[in-house]
Amino acid sequence: MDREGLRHELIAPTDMNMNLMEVCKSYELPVKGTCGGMAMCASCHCYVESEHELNEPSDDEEDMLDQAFFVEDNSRLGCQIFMKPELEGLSVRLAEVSE
Amino acid sequence: MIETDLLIIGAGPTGLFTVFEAGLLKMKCHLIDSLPQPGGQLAEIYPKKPIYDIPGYPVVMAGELVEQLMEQIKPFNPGFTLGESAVSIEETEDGSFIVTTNKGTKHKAPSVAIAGGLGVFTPRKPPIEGLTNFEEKGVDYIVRDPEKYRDKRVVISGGGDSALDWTVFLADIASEVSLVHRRTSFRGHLDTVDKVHELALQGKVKLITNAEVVDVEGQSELDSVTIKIKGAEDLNIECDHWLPLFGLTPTLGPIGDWGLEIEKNAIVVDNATDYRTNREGIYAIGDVNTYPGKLKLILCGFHEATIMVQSAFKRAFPDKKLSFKYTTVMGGVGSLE
Repeated sequence: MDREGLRHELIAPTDMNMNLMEVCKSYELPVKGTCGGMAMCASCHCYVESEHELNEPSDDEEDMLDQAFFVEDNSRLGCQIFMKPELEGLSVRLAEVSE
Repeated sequence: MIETDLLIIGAGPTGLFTVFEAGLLKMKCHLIDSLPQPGGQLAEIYPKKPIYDIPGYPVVMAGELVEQLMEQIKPFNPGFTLGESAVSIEETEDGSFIVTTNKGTKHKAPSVAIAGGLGVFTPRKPPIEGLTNFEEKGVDYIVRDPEKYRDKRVVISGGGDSALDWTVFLADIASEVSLVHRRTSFRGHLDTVDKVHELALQGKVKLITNAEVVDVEGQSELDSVTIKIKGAEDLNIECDHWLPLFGLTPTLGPIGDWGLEIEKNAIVVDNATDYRTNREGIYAIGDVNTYPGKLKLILCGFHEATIMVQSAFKRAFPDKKLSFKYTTVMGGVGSLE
């Protein structure tokens, strides 16, 4: 779901080592991914709204979330969520970003 | 006024290597960068991260690559204006450009190469409605003069080094210091973290964790902030200052208003020729530009710089003939110094 509350359905390949930030960008959703996926900018901050089990956030990701805003328990950086078949049906909402 | 043959905006890897390629053509370069040190993102964001796609280096740390580039361009003795950002550009009658920084430093050159990467690093601002109304009226993103906070009530937000350092420092100056952080653990230097906890125990600092400032209130000046605490009622704290210290993030900044064609936060260039922008004499190279098939890679920036300086040479020395030589044939760059 984007920041205007619009829902987009994305189909992601699972064999290309893609992360959620890259998938969103490839669909031209408003995700900047400034740092290119190094967990160093928080421009892909999102909320995970489905019950999928995800890889635990790394220290780098937690540190970066410290510099993001409106961080919730279900906050993640999209660039640290890697596309795999188990994530079928994953639902996320893009977080507000600062300008 | 600083005068040079080629003015480079941005001292990241692309900007630095431009000095080398321009130097081979006996052009003098001067670089402007908003950060206090050269290296751009590599030095500021990820100096300890490895890079694997620099030809000839199976792996190199970003910080080391910057050091090596600085070593490589040393013979050409480039000038630097660091800690200042390029704000305005004006064209002179002779077709040169004068670029002025936010601190008023003026630079003149026949060509300008924008190697600005992701842009100017500026403080990350919380997306709170009406926040900008309180900037300089209680809300500061950077601490410039700690004396400003003497005997004032200060709320600091953030969990990194800068938030922790200022919490410790201001504990002795301000009348009240509250530190608001979204987690219970901090990621700063261990001794600073310990010091903050110690100050909290002594009652010199109020530690508010699992919390976040979500609103700011006041008439013309800041009066209070609202803090959302996980599993508790919102807290309203009266204060004179709020310092949201959430690190730096790059934005294209004033260059976006230089009359250049911009697409998705990047400067459109002609990649079939010499990475020229829509303004003659202004080029854009590296991550800051865009063209069909653009890849934001350091090695692409190096290539773009090399092609670009050939054109910049013709603008700097219209009467001279450009003769291309391999560095091997020159016997190194010593002969050019």
